[in-house]
Amino acid sequence: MIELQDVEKIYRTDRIETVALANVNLEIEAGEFVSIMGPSGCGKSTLLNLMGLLDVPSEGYVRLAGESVESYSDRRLSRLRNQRIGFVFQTFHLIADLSVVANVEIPLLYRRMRGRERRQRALAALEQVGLSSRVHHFPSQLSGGQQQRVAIARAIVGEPDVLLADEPTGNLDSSMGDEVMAMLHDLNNRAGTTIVMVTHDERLAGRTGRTLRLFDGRQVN
Amino acid sequence: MIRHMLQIVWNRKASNALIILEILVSFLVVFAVVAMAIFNWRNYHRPLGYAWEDVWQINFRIGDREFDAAERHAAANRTLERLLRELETMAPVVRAAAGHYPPYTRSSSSRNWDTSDGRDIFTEIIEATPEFFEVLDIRIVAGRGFEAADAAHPWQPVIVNRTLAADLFGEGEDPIGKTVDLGNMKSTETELRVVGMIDDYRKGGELAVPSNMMFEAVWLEPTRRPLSLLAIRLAPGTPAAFEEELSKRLNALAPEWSFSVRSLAAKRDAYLRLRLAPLLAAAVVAAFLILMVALGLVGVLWQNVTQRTLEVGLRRAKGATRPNIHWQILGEMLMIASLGLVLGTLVVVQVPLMGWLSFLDLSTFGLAFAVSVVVIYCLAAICSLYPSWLAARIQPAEALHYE
Ligand SMILES: Nc1ncnc2c1ncn2[C@@H]1O[C@H](COP(=O)(O)OP(=O)(O)O)[C@@H](O)[C@H]1O
Ligand SMILES: [Mg+2]
Repeated sequence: MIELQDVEKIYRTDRIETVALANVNLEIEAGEFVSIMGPSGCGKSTLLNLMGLLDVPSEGYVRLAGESVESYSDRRLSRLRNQRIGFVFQTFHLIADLSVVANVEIPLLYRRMRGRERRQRALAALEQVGLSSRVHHFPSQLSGGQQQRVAIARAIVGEPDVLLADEPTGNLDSSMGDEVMAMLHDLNNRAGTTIVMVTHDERLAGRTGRTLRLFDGRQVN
Repeated sequence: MIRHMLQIVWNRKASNALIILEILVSFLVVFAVVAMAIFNWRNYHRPLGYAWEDVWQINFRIGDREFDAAERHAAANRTLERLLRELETMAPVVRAAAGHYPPYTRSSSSRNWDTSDGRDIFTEIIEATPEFFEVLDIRIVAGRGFEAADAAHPWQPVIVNRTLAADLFGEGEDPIGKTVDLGNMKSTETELRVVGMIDDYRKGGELAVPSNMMFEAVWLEPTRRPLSLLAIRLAPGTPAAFEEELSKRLNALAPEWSFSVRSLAAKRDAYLRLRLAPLLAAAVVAAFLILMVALGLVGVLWQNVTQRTLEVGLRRAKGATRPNIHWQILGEMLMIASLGLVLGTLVVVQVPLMGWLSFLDLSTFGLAFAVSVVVIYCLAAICSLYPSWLAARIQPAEALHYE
């Protein structure tokens, strides 16, 4: 599903060169649930961004569902992100000025779709995460766990093949974290969604199919 | 997408209030300037009703050797008569007349009365000898000009312009031969009878508001108060140097009077300069204001975009293309502009509703409104060009990295 070959990512600012990733080779099969672990600053988010086509590697190749994307235009990349990938972030990234359901609709805005269908799908996704009663609330009126569930609804509303979650439980207490994890497992089991999750929690990582470890931008095995 | 943007704009109304206010103020300023420009433009292209080319006016001060008023009037009118006669013997002078209120003059005399059926009539009054029409090439479109025989009538012959004829007798009615309804002043006043109609006589010049005009025929009878002005039409192409010869002749004919000669062309130049200067100044001030508003808008939008970096990053992660982001910022700005315009419209419609600026007719008003709306939308679009370009350039990975 996702293939990284000889990937290197270097951030260049005025003076400093940061090697965020070096010599990364990995392949994630469709339907896998993979966790990524490693100390802070070791390049986990960078890796996830490359997988999610939010950024391009300095060296090497990224392939998504067999497609080599290095020559893709902004439009094609955007479309791939829109149709195949769902993101969940540690800090939720909900838009404060939009109601819960409008937040969930966002990925569908960038597809050709009628407003009514958009709304129906968003409501269905919210039902899936158990938030049908909070549809017209605003993010600030929800607890952290509820906000992350909204973010998950937003990530799955477009029925992506891949869900990329960057420390999805990092800002939640353990019971809320477990709730979110249960949701991800459910998605992986029932819809067969490929999931890559960054976490600091060995316990949660232990419950995934496979764990990738990074240290200082390099894979550790 | 539109509903989505509306929700954002609406929920951000507090932070958009400043932009809305700026849009509202610029709309009002643009509207005022455009309305004045259209109004003046239309006036400028309205027929004047006379031809100023090759016409000179001669102002004079009467030497007062006579103490007795009656004697003074009689002497002045005798002199005037002689001047008119003599002027016409000069080669370049085609016609000479005496009157009041030549073109490009601000002063006027006017009259205001109620007709017997209660209509309020206002008109400017101009007294002139019959030749005045020929000198200024004022075309009689119905009836006739003043004639020598008119002096014998017990009624006062008058010539009216179209708008006064319509006010007095109704739109499309033939005014010729009709008596002016003076209402309750009827018993004390000489009867006024319309003998002719002209298109117009826009004494105030090209930029003047159209007004009702009534000419009263004047003969230089010994008893009447003398007129204050001579006007002459010259053969086309008469050089300015003729003025010297003319002044010499006038001084020789009436040594105790003093004269000043001026061409209507020169008066018109000075008039247009004087009238256009404040309009230009207003336009410059307005343009400056709009520029300030534009810079302000760009600043506020720029700041908005910076504040919303995370949101833009998220949208990009969720599949928005760069053009999607571009259009969203632009679309939101146009919606905000629309809110400002709705408020502006509410303010501006008060003008005709309250009967203010009644000289602005509805079509000028409507056109000015339409033009101002277009100008404001263009302004909003131009001001969002740079901020929306900035927003579209935001790198999603970086945007989502910083919190
Ligand atoms: N946009 C960026 N510009 C410069 N340096 C960056 C940028 N993003 C990440 N880095 C650097 O790359 C390294 C890896 O960062 P990141 O992938 O965010 O680590 P992690 O998610 O594992 O904490 C860090 O040293 C970080 O400072
Ligand atoms: Mg990270």
